[in-house]
Amino acid sequence: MLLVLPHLNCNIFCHYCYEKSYRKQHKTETKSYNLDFILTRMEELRDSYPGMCLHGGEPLMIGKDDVRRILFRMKELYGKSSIQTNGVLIDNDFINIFKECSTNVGLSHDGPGELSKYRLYKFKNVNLDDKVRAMTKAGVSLSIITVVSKANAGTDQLLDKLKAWLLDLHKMNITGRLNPCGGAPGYELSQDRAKEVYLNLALFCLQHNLKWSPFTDIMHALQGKSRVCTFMGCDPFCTPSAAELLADGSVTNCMRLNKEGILLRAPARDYLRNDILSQTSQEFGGCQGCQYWSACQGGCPGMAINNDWRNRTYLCDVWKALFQFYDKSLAFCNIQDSSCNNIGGESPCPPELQSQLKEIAPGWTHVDSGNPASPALNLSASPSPCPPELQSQLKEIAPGWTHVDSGSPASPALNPSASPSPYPPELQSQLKEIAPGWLHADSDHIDHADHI
Amino acid sequence: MKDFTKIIPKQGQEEWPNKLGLMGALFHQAEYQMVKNKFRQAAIINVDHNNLPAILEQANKDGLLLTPLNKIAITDRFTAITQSPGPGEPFIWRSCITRTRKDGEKFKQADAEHNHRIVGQMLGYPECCIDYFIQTFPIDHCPIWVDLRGSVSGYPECNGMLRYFGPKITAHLSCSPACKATKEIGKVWLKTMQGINKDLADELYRLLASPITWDSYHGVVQIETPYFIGLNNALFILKKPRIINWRAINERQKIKISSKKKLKSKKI
Repeated sequence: MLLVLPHLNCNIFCHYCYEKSYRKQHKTETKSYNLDFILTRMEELRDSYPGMCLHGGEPLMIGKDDVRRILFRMKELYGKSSIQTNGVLIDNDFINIFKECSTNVGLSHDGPGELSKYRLYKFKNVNLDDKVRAMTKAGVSLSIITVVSKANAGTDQLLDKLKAWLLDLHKMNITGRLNPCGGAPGYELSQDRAKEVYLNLALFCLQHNLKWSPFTDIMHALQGKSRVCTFMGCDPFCTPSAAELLADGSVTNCMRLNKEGILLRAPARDYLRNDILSQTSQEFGGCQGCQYWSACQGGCPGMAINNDWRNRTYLCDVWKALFQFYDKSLAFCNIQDSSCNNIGGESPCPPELQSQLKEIAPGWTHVDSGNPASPALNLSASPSPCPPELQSQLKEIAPGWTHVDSGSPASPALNPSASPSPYPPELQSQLKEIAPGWLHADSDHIDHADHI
Repeated sequence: MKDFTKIIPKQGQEEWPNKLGLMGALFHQAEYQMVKNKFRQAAIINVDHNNLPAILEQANKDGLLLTPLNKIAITDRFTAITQSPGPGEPFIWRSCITRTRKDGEKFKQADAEHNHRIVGQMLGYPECCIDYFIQTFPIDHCPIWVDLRGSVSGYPECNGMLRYFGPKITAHLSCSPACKATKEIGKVWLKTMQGINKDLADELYRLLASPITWDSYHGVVQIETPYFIGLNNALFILKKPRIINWRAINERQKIKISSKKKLKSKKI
């Protein structure tokens, strides 16, 4: 994906923005670009990228005419266009432009009211949800990028509001990405809280069939399928998922990695970071021996330990907990996990995990065993669909298991004490339905933002 | 970590990867010229079947001798340690250029015996830097001052932090960032390079005088200059980063400061 950045200026200045440190050091002017030159460069670069997205800064600040010309050129080049915006300036004219240019709109939105206090502190009267409804009504393809921070998940009450909002979006068939706030001390969740929140959200999404990233990506990663750049082994000097076309016509890397100044893009991607991480012990910031290495590949170098790309991501604990969660969910659903391999290991699933699974669920065989006589893996054939052992293990992984969505009378089944069956039939069938669906989820509607 | 080098220019500095290549070539030309102009007894030169005729022709013209030393495996990257080629693998001849046959033989023998003192002397290295090399190289092949980290001030002539990418003023590893003997020899090297391409040599000097951060960690050295970031393999895999923040000693400023001090003391 080529992100087209006519400028890096913004109108809202989110507290946690990853472009903030660059903006502090460099003057960013909205109208300093040459539009014709950018359009020419887009055409020149057409064959090098599978798609383009108008990005920023805040792209709508360049005005309707220029937005239209860029999106229209994208449509000419690719048959569709996309944009990532904070939405503050969206009005009916812009909605018409989006429709005309077959634009996939990515809206950065952290939730209603106080949930967006790190974003819309200057625009308290702006109601993004009205704009969401207007775009949906107009038939604009829309997805959301939500940054999960202290503002919308710092307490259980805030998290409940966030989840309620996700359900509202679900009614409009809107999904997107729940990106962890990173590199912004003071605004991001503590590691422990982030782990708790993401496991809680994972379970919530599973229960309600909400297909949000990073959960869909983690499922894909465990299947060895294409996923978001975070888990694709990013080369910090040639970011594979996001190249950025700047106003001067040069092409650079994802702005998460251009914090001080802009480095131009290395001519070819390499796997140096993967080499380093796979050979460096976990004790010293690497990933050696991690069973989720091939699914995760060290995470985003822009969120590396000590801000040094030669280390793995500092979100490791969060990702690892989610990988464990989905690993077990996949096993439960009899879906082959092809990516759970240790470095240098021959078995796709390490023997320890296999034996663990066997211990958890006696009589259950691992999906890779090739044993056709494993009736317990067929949920419908199992007299006890989820043995208490597995349930208690999932509870350990996801502490929110017992109280997730506890305020919702519509989901009593998630509270084991309220349910005669520890793993209720509704959830079983949901799991069966959801997981395979996720694996084949059409992510086209969020293709404007395939990097985070 | 395998041998590698990688240059990523900063915005507006796209010409640097090419420029670094030119600077490397300029240095190699100066190596030859330094022997021809009698500033050193010998220079090491790599010869393959492509450049052999041209080198021999030039050497004959200049009255210099080419003496083969040993075969080494071909690499397109900087490496502090040469490898012998495997059976059937392509190779080049590591050779020396001297003005006399006697020097050629002396160099070959010293090289075969790993007599770093004689090799260093014939290559024109200062005695202090030969001592440093003999002491440290067998323990740590890392070409950057092994005991230094943090803020470091030195002479551009001593700055070997970019040698992996081509730019350097002297051929040897200086014993310290402020080695006076290296600075003096470096003046001769720089003058020789200026005689070949003054603009490029001046730019090379400015580059090595600019603020540079050298950061070795997990087997990769990352070197940041005002114009680009360079990456290369480190010979040692460090579990904690070793970072050198390089600033060139400003001679003029030093002179000004010391003369001001003198004035003050006179007034007192």
